[in-house]
Amino acid sequence: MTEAMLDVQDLYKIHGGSGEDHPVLRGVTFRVEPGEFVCIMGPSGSGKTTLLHLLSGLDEPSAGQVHLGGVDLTHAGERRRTVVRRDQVGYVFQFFHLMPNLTVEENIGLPLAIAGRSVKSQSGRITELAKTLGIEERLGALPHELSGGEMQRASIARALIGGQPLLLCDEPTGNLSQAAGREVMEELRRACDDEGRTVVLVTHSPRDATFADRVLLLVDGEMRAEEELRGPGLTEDDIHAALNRASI
Amino acid sequence: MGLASIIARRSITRRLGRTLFSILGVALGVATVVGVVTLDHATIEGYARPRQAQDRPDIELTAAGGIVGTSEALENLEGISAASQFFQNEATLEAASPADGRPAQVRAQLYAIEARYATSFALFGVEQGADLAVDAPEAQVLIGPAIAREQGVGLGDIVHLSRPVRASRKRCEDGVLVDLDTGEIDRPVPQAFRVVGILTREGVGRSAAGNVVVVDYPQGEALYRGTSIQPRFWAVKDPTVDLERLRRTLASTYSYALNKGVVIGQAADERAFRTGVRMLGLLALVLGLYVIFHTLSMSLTERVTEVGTLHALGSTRGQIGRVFFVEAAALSGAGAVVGAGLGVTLAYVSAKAGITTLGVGKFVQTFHVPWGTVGLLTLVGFAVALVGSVYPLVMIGGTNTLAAIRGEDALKRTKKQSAKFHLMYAALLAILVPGLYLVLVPVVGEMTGELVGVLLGLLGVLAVVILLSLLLPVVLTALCTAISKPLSTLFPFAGRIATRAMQDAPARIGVSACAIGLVAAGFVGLHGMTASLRGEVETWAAEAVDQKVWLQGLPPTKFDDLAAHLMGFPGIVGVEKGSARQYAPFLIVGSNGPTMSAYGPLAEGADMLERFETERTILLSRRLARDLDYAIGDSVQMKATGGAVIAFEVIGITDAYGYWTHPDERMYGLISDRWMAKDFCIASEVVTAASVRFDRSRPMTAEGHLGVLRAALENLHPETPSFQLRPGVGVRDYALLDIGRDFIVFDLLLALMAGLAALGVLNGMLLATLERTRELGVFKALGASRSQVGGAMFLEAIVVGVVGGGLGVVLGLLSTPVIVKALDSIAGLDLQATSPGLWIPLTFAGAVIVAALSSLYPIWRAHTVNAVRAVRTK
Repeated sequence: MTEAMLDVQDLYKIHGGSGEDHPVLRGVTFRVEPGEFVCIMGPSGSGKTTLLHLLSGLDEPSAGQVHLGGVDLTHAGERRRTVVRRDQVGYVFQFFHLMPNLTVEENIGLPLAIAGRSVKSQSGRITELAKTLGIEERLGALPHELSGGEMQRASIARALIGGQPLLLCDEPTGNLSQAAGREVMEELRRACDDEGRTVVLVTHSPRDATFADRVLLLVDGEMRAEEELRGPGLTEDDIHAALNRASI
Repeated sequence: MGLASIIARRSITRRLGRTLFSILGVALGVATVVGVVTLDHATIEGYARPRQAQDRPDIELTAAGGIVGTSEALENLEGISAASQFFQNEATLEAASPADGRPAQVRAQLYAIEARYATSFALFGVEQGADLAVDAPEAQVLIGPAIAREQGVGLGDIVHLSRPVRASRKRCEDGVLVDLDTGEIDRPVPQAFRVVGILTREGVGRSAAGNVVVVDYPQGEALYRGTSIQPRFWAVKDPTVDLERLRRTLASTYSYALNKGVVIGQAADERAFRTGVRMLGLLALVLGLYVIFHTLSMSLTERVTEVGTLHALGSTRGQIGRVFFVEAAALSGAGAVVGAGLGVTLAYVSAKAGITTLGVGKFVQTFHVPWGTVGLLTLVGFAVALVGSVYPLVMIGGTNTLAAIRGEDALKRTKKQSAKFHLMYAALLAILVPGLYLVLVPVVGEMTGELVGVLLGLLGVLAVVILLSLLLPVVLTALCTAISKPLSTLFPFAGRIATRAMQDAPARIGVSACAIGLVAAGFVGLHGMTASLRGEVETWAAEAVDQKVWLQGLPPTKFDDLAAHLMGFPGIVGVEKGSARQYAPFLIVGSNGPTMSAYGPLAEGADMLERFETERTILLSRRLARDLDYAIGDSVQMKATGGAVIAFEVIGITDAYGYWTHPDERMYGLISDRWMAKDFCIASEVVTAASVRFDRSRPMTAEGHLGVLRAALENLHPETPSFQLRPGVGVRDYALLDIGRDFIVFDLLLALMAGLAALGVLNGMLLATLERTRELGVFKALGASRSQVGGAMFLEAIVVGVVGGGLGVVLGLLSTPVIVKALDSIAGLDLQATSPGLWIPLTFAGAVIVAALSSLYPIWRAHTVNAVRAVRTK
């Protein structure tokens, strides 16, 4: 058995507050193999984003284990988790989180600078990536000068530039038009197919989910293993049916 | 390019407004302090250097009759750090083997000084060879460069020195200069000296055009044996002791002359003025650093999402910290360098415009910059501003990344750390910076225990303001919201938004109000001080100049005739002489007792008048007595013409007599003109100037006084009507005007600080605007007009100005007695704390206006917020 890109075992996350514990994730267990495109779906508040935070080491679980590329994040300190995230994870945020003062080109090159690598020597790669994503003309622009789709594509380029094997995408099309959303999903699929990246996508959109190899349903913090869908060739109807069965 | 440089560079270049105002904050603070220190240095150097006798030490002393002074005894006196016996005389130098064609003998100026102390005075340098050796087996001499060159004398040569044939000596004896020669034939005996060094062309080496020799005192004494050498001492003033204390120490035993260069800027009032300017410099520095700290703190709040994103992308806390550090270093460095340049330029422009730390209208010929101190102050400004950046670093450690990327309050967990840091920074600003500053730019003059207490009091006021704003901003915020809440009924939208904005940002409001408060306190305190000074002048004028008229330009007139003539006119009760004057070592005026006996202490009885006229007695002005600590019955030592030191007994302390408008000197003594003639050989029977005293019990206007005098003088000198009359009221008004003019320097410095405070408010509001971009966009999207959004911000600024102004007025009024006490301590001015009057409402209004003006740029920025863009991103 090959080493999983992500190995999640009996994961719990409980938020305290107002004197009452609120379990967000309850015993979540799943594996993601290298090169796999996995989509996690679920209603609002089901714990999808919290799960992504735990998978990236941004947050610590209340119980359970997360192994990322063989590293046990659960027992790693904050600095170790940060370094693992830097080296292993490309993150695509729902709200882009581009640095407002940096140009698109500088934003894309940011992970390289963070890793202490030369941004200048990678400018050809940045341009190539921007060309692939259709934002080549916008490299000198500031984020506030971009459309939503352009911002998200810049965000994806930023996630891809470092060559990290795992892409974590949090509702990447949530703020985009249908056409822009489709372009973004095609790009993620291409990263998976052509570059062998592993993609974990969190979304509400059945249409986006059709791009995945596997769809997992998260309901009230629990993974519904029985409703897991496997591709290829998943249709929106398959996904709607699974969502209906899970009463989502 | 590294992460830190990419982000910091972009942050600096893209947020131009914030960058500019941050740099300006540090720059203005550093510029003020550098400007103040440079101007003070340039003033003192510019005045002292040209006036300082280069071949004279700080003090030259002569022991009083009956006192056998020694240099050891002098060095034990308070205020003297080094002393040596000394004399100076003409000598004849003859080279043992003169070069061809050179004259055998040359006249030289001889300085005899104790070899072991010679270096203490730094009055000469040795270009070749060595200094005089202590207890050398043979007589040694240092020769001037002209002798070496023109006589061909070199190191190791033997020269013969002899005193010149004695000239006739004279002494003032009973008002007559008498010849002291005995009539015997004078035969000087040459003595051999070995040349051990050649002097540089500086100090003593320049005197007598370089024809100068320096020998050890005992050998010099031997050379002049048989003649009367006036025993004198050279001494170096201890810089930590005030002139007044030194004068008090010396007054009873020595007659002394102070080198003018040492005196400049050291008089009591000058010290007070210069110290005041320096303290304002400190206030500006603290305020500037306070503003930059505030800006950097606010900047963190604005950029917390950026921090979260960087962390989510894999930046370690250290990397993020470096981003902030590089940025703060760039801002602080640029601010400090710009400030240093601006400060030196400001000082230069001020000096050229006649604005100095000794007052306005005083021009210096040369401009010297104390580069060492300027560099250190710039470094302090840079370092402390940089420490301000540690705050964001500390806060980053506790930033909640998840909350940051979700757009929630990511700094919640850091409140405790924040409080600790604020306490640390408050201590830095209120204790460490002032302490460091006082080491680099010390108080001018002596640091007495009393002065330390006063300074601690002022620093305490500063600390209260800083601590209040940094640690308890809620108190000020509560005050601000209490004021703004009722306004919500008048301006429902703007009032509510302003109130909520203030409640949400207590630190910003606290710092803004306190920055304005500090400057307002400065204005009120300063004008309280000038009001007190004016009060002191008015009290002095009531005794010294009111009911008096000064008369100049008379044809030479016998004083007795003039007095007798004038006192026959209605209202004239006294006539005083002003022309018989001598410095010994302070101003002594020779006066005629009988013509002053209708007022002041001499009117207290015939006995008093008789003592003044027949005994060696003196009346001292109040300021002189206070500064030199003289009381009635004390003895004042004065050096008479001819060298003898004579004692005068103090019989009265009064300002009723003797003040003269040229020079304007309030430290003087009056002796009878009889003693002026007898001891100083200064005759004053004939005068060309006098002052005339009118009867207080018969009130008359200045015009009335002048009318009476004109009539009297035209009657006396019908052929010369061109005399000048100056009434006392004019003298008083000029003195009052002088205070206002000199203290313009303080107003200028406070205006600079008002600019700094405005920057603090502006930076705070600007950053708050940037932070609230989305909220402002939503307001616009919901239909809020520009005037409503701008009105809320304007209202907030007005309220901050009202609270800051109010706080400043209260603190200023509390500071006035402390400042007055400081003046008493530094300058010996006996002041009564007086209310600044009209300056209270003016300062309050000024505070509100400054706050309102500083809101204009943030309001403009708020108007430029793109509503569509603001609402479409989280």
